[in-house]
Amino acid sequence: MTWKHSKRKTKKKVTTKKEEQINSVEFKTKDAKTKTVEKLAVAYSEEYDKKIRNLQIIALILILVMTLIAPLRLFDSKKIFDITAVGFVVAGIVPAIIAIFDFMRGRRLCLYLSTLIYGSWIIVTSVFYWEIILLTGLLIIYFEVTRVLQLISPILANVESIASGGAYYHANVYLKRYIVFLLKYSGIILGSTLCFGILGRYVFVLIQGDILFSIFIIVCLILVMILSRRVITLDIKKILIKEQKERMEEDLAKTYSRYN
Amino acid sequence: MFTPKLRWSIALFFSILLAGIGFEEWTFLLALIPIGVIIISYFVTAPPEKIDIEIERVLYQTRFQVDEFVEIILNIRNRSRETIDALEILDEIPPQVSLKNSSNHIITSLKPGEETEFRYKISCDYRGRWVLGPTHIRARNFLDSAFTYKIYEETKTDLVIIPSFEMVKDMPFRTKYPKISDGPFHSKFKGEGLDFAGVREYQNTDSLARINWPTTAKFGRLFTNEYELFRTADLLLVLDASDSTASILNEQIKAVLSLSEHFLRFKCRVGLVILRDTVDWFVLSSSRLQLLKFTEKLVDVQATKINNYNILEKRLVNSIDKYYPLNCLTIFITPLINNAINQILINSARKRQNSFFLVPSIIASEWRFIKDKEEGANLLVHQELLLRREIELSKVIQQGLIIFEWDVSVPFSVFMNKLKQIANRRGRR
Repeated sequence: MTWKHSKRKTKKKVTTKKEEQINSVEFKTKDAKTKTVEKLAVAYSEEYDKKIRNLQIIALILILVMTLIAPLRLFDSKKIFDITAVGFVVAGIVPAIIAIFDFMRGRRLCLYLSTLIYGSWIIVTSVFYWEIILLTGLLIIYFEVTRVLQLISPILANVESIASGGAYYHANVYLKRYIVFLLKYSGIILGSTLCFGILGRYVFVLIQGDILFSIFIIVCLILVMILSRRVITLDIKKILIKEQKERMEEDLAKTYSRYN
Repeated sequence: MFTPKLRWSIALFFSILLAGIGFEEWTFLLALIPIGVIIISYFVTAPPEKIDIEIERVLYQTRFQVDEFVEIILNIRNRSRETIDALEILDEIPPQVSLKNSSNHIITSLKPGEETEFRYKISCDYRGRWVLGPTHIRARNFLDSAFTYKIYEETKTDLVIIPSFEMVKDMPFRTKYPKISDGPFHSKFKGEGLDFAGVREYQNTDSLARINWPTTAKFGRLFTNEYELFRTADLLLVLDASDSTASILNEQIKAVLSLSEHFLRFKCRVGLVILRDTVDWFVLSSSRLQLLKFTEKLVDVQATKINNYNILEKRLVNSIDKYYPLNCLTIFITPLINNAINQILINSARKRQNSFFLVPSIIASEWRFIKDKEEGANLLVHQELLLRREIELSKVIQQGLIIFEWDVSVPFSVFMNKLKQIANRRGRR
């Protein structure tokens, strides 16, 4: 039994060595030193393209979900307002596609425009309780994914791919971790909003609407105060430091001035 | 520091809240739930205010030749205990070098304690002393709601880009005053050289090893091979680096270094005078260090405007007359484009007994960069410039001076080779 086991082990080792031999190439440098370079199964630029394409597909699916719900729900309606709203939302797919796929200028503007169109559509025309929560969550994910696409593509524009250590290699590392983060983040966004939604609905039924609404407003205000205080104090600190620096520079210039 | 994204999100939150209250639509408020969640996550995922990253530049040497490719490596290590979701790194490169492959601007991600290597390749386009770095880093979170910025001044590295030169194999120039020692110049006299010159009848003092047996067998008398003598000479190179030569100065420098390298290889004494708003000079020396001295100086030489031509002429005359013998071979490397400079150089050349002009064709060089060559106005200007130049050249020839015109689109070594072939065809070795 032990002999068989050891035999298996040795066999395995041989195969791994063969793989290593195939995947690596040895060459001699000018200084007569031997260097080993590992062969890549897929080039880093191709891997990067694949990841970017996946993100683009995710963003496109999110947009299609938000777009197609409108005509499906208002299919039978013959009101002018509904027809206009449906047309508006369907037309909103154009800036969204420009924002996702890099084929013309104004990607950032198109992203804001598409977010505005879909945001207003979700808030104004949605009537179902779950629809508004879920669609807002999807819109946020679409916005974040498209922002990342817009952030990374100009950095790698007209860049030649090299082996490990180059711009594509690092972009792949970043995108790989971002996709994992995106999955977690989408889960958190959708899951937490749904949890809050369920909680809110039941609490709304139990407690009177006006009381709940005033509690909600107070909580919001406190939250915003805490958050904005952190932001504002940081800004004030920055301004104070800048002023102090300027004052010190002025003093220094006066002290060492030849006209003194 | 937080990005404007956070402010816009808070503003959006309040707008929807106010709209919900204003329109008395409670469904509006439902949209606040995901927006509230995202605002909280903006704060939670913000990167630390102080980033502890170690950056080290790996550069095995700092001196490179023009047009050489250099691989820049930066070793980056995250020393903090927190993950940096998005780390943007920009390594500043001077405008005088260009990116060959990859990029000096990357985005990556680093886990605690993780070390990575950032590589890119640059091409050294212009000679001079330039500074590589500093390195700018910006750590962000995946949501891009906040960032921390830092500059690493310690990655600054000095780059010295030295002018390149070509190995010249054939030397078409002759000197009137050769020295006795062996060197690169062909002499009229025959002797113990290496280049085969012909055969002559055997004399009793000739070595037996030099007998040409095929000729002896043909004519029935003893014949010996004759070889050409090579001699050294002193060489003075005068480089015109006035403002009018700016477009062609690099080619001129290349010619200076190529000639110096060739003559110093044969232990000739070489000197250099550089004409700018000042006159820089190097005394004659046959040491190989001379080439290093020239290179070190020529790294920094830029075409400069000359304010006073009289002062310049006096300085030139003083330095040339004082430090260089009259019979040393003087090569004036100038495009002959500026009348005032031309006159100074012609006066100086007439005094020397052994001099000529090596003239790079500046008009042809500048014409290469004109895009619309068929346009009438461009053609007219080009023809006028050529005519003016011809007049300038004829002025020099009238003074009995020799001109070698070099089209800079042809490599200098090829140009020298062609000159040598022409000299051979004319029966001059």
